[in-house]
Order: sequence, then C-alpha cells, then structure tokens
Amino acid sequence: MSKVIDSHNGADSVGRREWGKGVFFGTLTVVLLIGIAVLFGRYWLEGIYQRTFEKTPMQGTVHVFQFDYYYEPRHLTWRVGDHVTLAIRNMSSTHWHEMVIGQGFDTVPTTFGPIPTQFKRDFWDGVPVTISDATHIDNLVLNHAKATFVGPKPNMATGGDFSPTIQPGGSINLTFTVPNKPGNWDYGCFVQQYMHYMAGMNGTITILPAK
Amino acid sequence: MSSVVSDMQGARSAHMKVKRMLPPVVRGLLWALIGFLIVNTLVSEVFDRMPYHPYVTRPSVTLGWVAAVIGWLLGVGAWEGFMKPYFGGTADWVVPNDWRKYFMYSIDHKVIGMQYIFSSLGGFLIAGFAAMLMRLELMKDHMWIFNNPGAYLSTVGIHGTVMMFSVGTVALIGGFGNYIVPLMIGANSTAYPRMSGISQWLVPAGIATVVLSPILGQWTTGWRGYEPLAGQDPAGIVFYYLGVFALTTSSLMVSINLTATILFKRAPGLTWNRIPMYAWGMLTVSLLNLIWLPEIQMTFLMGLLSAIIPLPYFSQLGSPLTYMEMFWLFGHPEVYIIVVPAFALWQELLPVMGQKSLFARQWGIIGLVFVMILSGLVWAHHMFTNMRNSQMLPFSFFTEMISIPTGFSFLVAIGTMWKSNLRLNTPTLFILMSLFNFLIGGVTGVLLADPVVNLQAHDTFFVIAHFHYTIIGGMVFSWFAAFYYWLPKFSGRMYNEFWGKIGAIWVFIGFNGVFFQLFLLGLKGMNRWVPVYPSYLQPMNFEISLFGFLLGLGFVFNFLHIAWMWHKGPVVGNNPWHSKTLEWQTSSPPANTNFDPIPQVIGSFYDYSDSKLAVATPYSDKKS
Ligand code: HEM
Ligand SMILES: [Cu+2]
Ligand SMILES: [Cu+2]
Repeated sequence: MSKVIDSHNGADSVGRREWGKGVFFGTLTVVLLIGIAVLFGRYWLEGIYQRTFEKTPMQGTVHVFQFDYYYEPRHLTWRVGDHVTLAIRNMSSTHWHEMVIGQGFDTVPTTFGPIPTQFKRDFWDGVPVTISDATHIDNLVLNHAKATFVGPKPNMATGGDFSPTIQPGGSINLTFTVPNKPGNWDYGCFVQQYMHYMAGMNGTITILPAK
Repeated sequence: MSSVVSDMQGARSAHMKVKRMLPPVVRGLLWALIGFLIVNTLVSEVFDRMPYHPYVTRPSVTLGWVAAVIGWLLGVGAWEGFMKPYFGGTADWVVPNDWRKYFMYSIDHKVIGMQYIFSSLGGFLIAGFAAMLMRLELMKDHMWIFNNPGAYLSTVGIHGTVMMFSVGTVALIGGFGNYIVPLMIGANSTAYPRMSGISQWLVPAGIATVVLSPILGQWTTGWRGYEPLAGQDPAGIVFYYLGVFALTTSSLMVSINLTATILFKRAPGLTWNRIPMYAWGMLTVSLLNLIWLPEIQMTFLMGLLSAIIPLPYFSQLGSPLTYMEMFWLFGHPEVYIIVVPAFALWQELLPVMGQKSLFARQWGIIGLVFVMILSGLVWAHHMFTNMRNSQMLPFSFFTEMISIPTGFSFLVAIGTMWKSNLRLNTPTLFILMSLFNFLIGGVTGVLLADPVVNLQAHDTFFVIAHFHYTIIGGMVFSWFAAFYYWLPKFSGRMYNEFWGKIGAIWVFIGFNGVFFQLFLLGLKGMNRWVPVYPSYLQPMNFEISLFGFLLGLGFVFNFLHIAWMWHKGPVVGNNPWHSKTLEWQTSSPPANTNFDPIPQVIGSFYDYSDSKLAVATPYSDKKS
C-alpha cells in the first residue's frame, strides 16, 4: 500500500514537490480582500457594475422579481418616450412586497429616530398606465396615476404613493410610456416600516432624455 | 529544514526532478471556485432553470457549495493524500518540513493539531471582532453602527455560531486533543491519520461560509438557526446551515479519531485506570460528540431543506416547535462539549503545578461521565416559556442535578490544591480564574434552572452573562492555561512569567468587568437580540462596552505574547514542569516520531509521592 509521505520518511517519495511563498501569500491576500469587499461592499459593487455595464435602455416587457429582500434586477434604464411593460412578480414564499418608485423621502418621527414612510416625489404622478394580469394583489394604491384596467380589478386602497403590494407568488403588469421625467429614480419596498428597504430591497432607475 | 528531505533522498535526489506545484491552499481555492461555478451553473441554468431567476438561487448555491468544499479539500491535498492511494495510485505527496507543512494536507497528528489550533484561533479573532462591533453598537441606545436591525442580528448570529462551532467545540478537542492525546498515551500517531488530515480543512471552510453568509442575505435567528423564524429570513440562513454542517462534520471526525486512538493506541501498561485526565476528558467529550452531533446535523439538514425546496417541516403545516426541541436536545450537551475538556484540564494541570497526587481521581472521572450522561436530559430548560408548569419540574430537577457531578470536578481540583506547594505561575493562575468564573456561571445556572427565576430572566442579558461565564470563564480561560502550559512542549521555549501574569490579570479584570455587569443589566431589563433599547440602560451599556474593548485587547495581548515567546522565548528543557505524564517524557518539541521505542507504563502519572517516573523505558534521545 502506498502512503502519504511526511518529510521525515521522504526517502520513498516519487518526486519532490515545492511551492513558493509569493503565490501563497499573494493569493491569500487577494482572496481576503475580495472576501471583505463583497461582504461589506456588495451593494456598492453592484451599483458600480450596473452603472458601468447596464446603460442600454430596456424596452418592451421588463421583468422585476421581488425576493427577500432584494429586487432582481436592481437597476433599470429607460428612455423618455419608450413603451414599457413593467412585469412585477413576487418570488418570496413568505413575504408581501411592493414596488414604489420616487425621489426623496417622507419621514415620520419615532422614538428610534425618523423613519422614511414613502418617497417624497411619486414617479407615477399624472402618468397614464394600463394595469393587467393582476393576481394575488394585496392592495393597489393609485395615488395620482391615470389607470386603465385590463381584466379583473385588484383590491384597491388609498393613501400614499402609487404602489402595488403583492402577496407571495403574486404578480402585476404595468404598461406605460415613459413620461418626460428624466433623471435618477429610486425604487423600493417600504413594507414593515422601511425594514425591507434597509435590508437591501431597493434599486435605481436611470431615465435618459428623449433622443 | 526541508533540506532534510533531500539529504535523506541522497544519491537518488540528484536525478529526481523537483516538481513545481501551486501552493495546496491556493489550489484548493481554485478547485473550489471551479467546482462552484460548474455545479451552480448546471443547477441554476440547466436542471432547475427558471426564466429571469438570478444566477445564484438557493438550490444552486447549496449544491455549488458542496462542490466547492469537495474541490477545496481535494485541492488542499486530499486528492494525492487520500483519494489517489485509495484508488490504488501512488501517493506523491511530500510535506516539506518547514512552515509550509501547516498549510497543506498532513497526516502527522502534531501538524494537524497545530492546524486546528490556528483555525480556531482565527475563528476566535473573527468572532471576537464581531463581538466588538456588537458592543460598539450597544454603546448607544439607538442604531449607529449598523443601519438596520437585521445587520446587527446577523452579526450576533455570526459571533455565536463561529464561537460555538469553531472555538468552543474545536479548540480544546481538535487542537490540543489532536496534538497532546497521542503523546499522552504513548502513541506515535492517531488511529485514523488520513481522515484527521481532511477533517481539519473543513474548519476554515466552515468559518468562511458562516462569515460570508450576509452575501446571500441577512439572517436573524442567532446561532440556533431557529425554524420557522428562519423561514422568514432572506437566504443568508442557507450559509449558516451549510457552514455549521462543515464545522460539525469536522468535530465528528475528530471525535471518531480520538475515541479510537484512546481505545486502541495506548502504550503497553497504560491500563484504563492509568489513562491521563485530559485523555479521559477527550474520551467523554468525544462520546458526547458522537451522540449529539449527528442529531443536530439532521436537524440542520431539515432546516436547510425547509429553506431550499421548501419543505414544510417546521411551518404551520409541519410542527413549529419541533425545531426548538431538536435544537436544544443538542444545544445543552453542547455546553458540556465545551466545558468538559476544561474540567479535564483543571485536573491535568493542578497535580503537576502542585507536585501532589491527584485527589479522588475516580470521582473526577465519575463526574465527567455523569455530566455526559445527564446533559441529555435537560434540554427543555431553554424552553420554560413554552411549556406547561407540570413539564417544568423534571427539567428543572435534572438541570440542578448536574451541579452534583460538576461539583466533583471542583472538589477534585480543590482537594488536589489542598496543602500542595502550588506554583502560582501563569497556567495555574488561569486555572484558578477558570474555577472562579465557572463557579459564578454554575451558580447562576442553578438559578436559571429554577422556573421562577427563569421566567423573569429569560432572554435577558442575565442569560448572556451566565453562559459567557461558563464558556469564556470556564473554557476560554482554561484554553489559555493550556496554551501557556504546553507552550514549552510545542516550541521548547518558555513564556515570560511576568507578562504571562499581566495577561492573565488583564483578561480577568476585563472579563469580570464586562460580564458581571451584564447580570445587573439583565436584571434591570436589558433584552438580548436588540440593538435598540430604553435609554435608562445606556450609561451601563456604555461602560460595559469599554470593558469589552479592554477584554478584546487583553486576548490579543496574550496571543501576541505567546506567539512572540514561541520564537524568541528562553529555551527550556524537555520537562520544565516536572510532570509525569507521557507527553513530557519525549523531547520538546517532539521529533517526527514521538516515541522511539514506545514506552512501557508501569505506574501512575499522578503519583508525586516520589520522583520515580511512570514509564519503564523513557524516551531516548537517539532519533532527533
Ligand atoms: C470578547 C469577548 C466577548 C464579548 C464582548 C461578547 C459579547 C456578546 C454579546 C454582546 C452577545 C449578544 C447578546 C445578545 O444580544 O443576545 C453575545 C452573544 C453570544 N456569545 Fe459572546 N462575547 C464574547 C466572547 C464569546 C465567546 C468566547 C464565546 C464562545 C466561545 C461566545 C459565545 C456567544 C454566544 C453563543 C452568543 C449567543 C449568540 C446568539 O444569540 O446567537 N462569546 N456575545
Ligand atoms: Cu418587501
Ligand atoms: Cu442548557
């Protein structure tokens, strides 16, 4: 039976094997740095990546998946005048999620300090939107959107920004023409007192001016 | 050093090619990456493809992780050292005799022991850093370091998990156990050296998995991975289950190996009633591991399946409290897994330091064994808030019963010190501190076992104080005693007594400064698992945190001292403590072959009534 050779009885070794310090410590350092970077800077790195590589405007049907607690994708690019169907689907098996789009925050004071409740500026203000394929919608707040419904109308609610709140496994399609509101927008989920948002459930939309 | 190899190869080495290879650890990382990419891609893009899903899904990351760990183990050396010979190939695995041997697969129990010591030290420092972050957060009554409670809770979970499964369960067993036990029982290797070589490399993999879990998402369950709570969490919990699975598998392999080693590899004449106390401790703790680790591994597997498939074991469709029962069925014995080696250390070190025979040795062993037996009968004391009054009584009773065999360990220690000329050096100091701290942990444990108190103190910082007193106070202090005590064995060099004592007193003050106040804080109403708390608790928390940082620095100071003395300390003889146990009857540090010839045991290791050695053919210096 052949055996593992520890150096002291190295006499029966088939061939000596050597390895260098440089590669060893170099690689370990690099791996350590990568580890720390992804651990603490995941969202930041994702942002850089997406700003660098995902600049092509998305047209037609754009899927947004909701997970616990993140969106896939986390960055969208539209151009003013594009025709878009935002297909939102909640992939969680346990959690209700929403997708609010806006800029700035409205906050309420609490013992724990001010907590954002919604965006200050609602992207959907005055925007004509066709709502279709709504299944398992907990409630839909229209705010100042000009909605048309195709198929059964989901459970409606009032108060706050435009937001569909989707039950686990639910989905909704929002079809609209990108309004003339160029700039950087945020989207996020404010469910459970902003906790989803803070835990990473947010993303950004770049709206490019019309060509 | 590695020139030894070429010398021995003599003439042959002249026409033998030196093969260049990637450093095994680097190769392991590479193979792990390749394994992950292949399997993850197959699962998420081919077998389990769902349109628009992210590239990494829960099932794909789980299977990808399995492939990565296999790749890591093979790359680190299990391929040449284990698999190839297993399939009948020749092993061309040469372990150079210098620092490199600690960073590759090896079958030498001393090297493996050292690797385990480094791994759990790494875990201790990482998890300790997490503790510092937590204490930093708790300095103020609102959130200021972490930006959401989930991040704080993930940190608590990582701290607890890494501490429990890579330090508490591993440091004294995988580390010192692997190194010392074969030496202590007069053997030249462990029973399953190849398996042992593999098991060590699961530890860094497991620690890395748990530490990197936030990449997948937060988890809020703490070190217990509670279902169905975990079912509400993002995917980070998947890496908790997987990481802990790797760590527990490693401990299980160590236990199998140590049990077999102690049972079958003892030197001639080393009868049952001569087995050294530390070996006894390792044997009992290994049996505990063999009983309880598979149980918890099954529980974690079920939790994992609930998270990735998902199966409804612990949801409303299943049985939500079952996980809790199953967890604590293991969870309580786990505390004894941590503390039994510490008991054994007290009984190992005190006779040597007092040069006096061990008092009531049989009772010491009976104590260890009964702690082991009773530990499985008490789990529900962690769940008093979930049960009927009639169910509390038996669990309260058995829990308080454990203080009896535990008391044996104290009595043996005290009886041994009684009227001995105890050398009050650093290891002794650490042992005394450990006895003191564990006493506080034990007494408050009896209190907590009382339902009336428990229902008040449940999930407050009183509990945190109690278990840190048992774990840090009992086990970590003994761990330091072991470091100082066996340093001359590892290195042939001695630490500095002055700085050693400073280090001991430093951590003792820091430790009691933190954790004694935690009792009071808990009684005042400070809940655990909260980064935000009522402002009247803030001044005390602030001060505790300062002590916390002092403690953290104290640990680092001790490690730096030990590391320094390892290389620069004054050289001492083979047996600086005049101990009779076998590990000191060979050279320090031991040569590659521990004993040549194998010694014959003829007396008791703990009989200091005369200066006769317990071995007939003590170590001869001819080999090194
Ligand atoms: C530097 C010294 C340490 C400090 C300052 C410290 C501090 C803490 C704090 C603040 C908590 C969180 C309490 C809570 O909110 O529930 C905690 C939890 C915990 N600690 Fe430590 N700790 C230290 C060392 C250790 C060690 C050495 C171990 C074990 C070997 C350990 C094991 C645990 C465990 C198991 C938990 C429970 C975690 C959970 O609930 O998941 N700690 N510690
Ligand atoms: Cu949400
Ligand atoms: Cu318990």
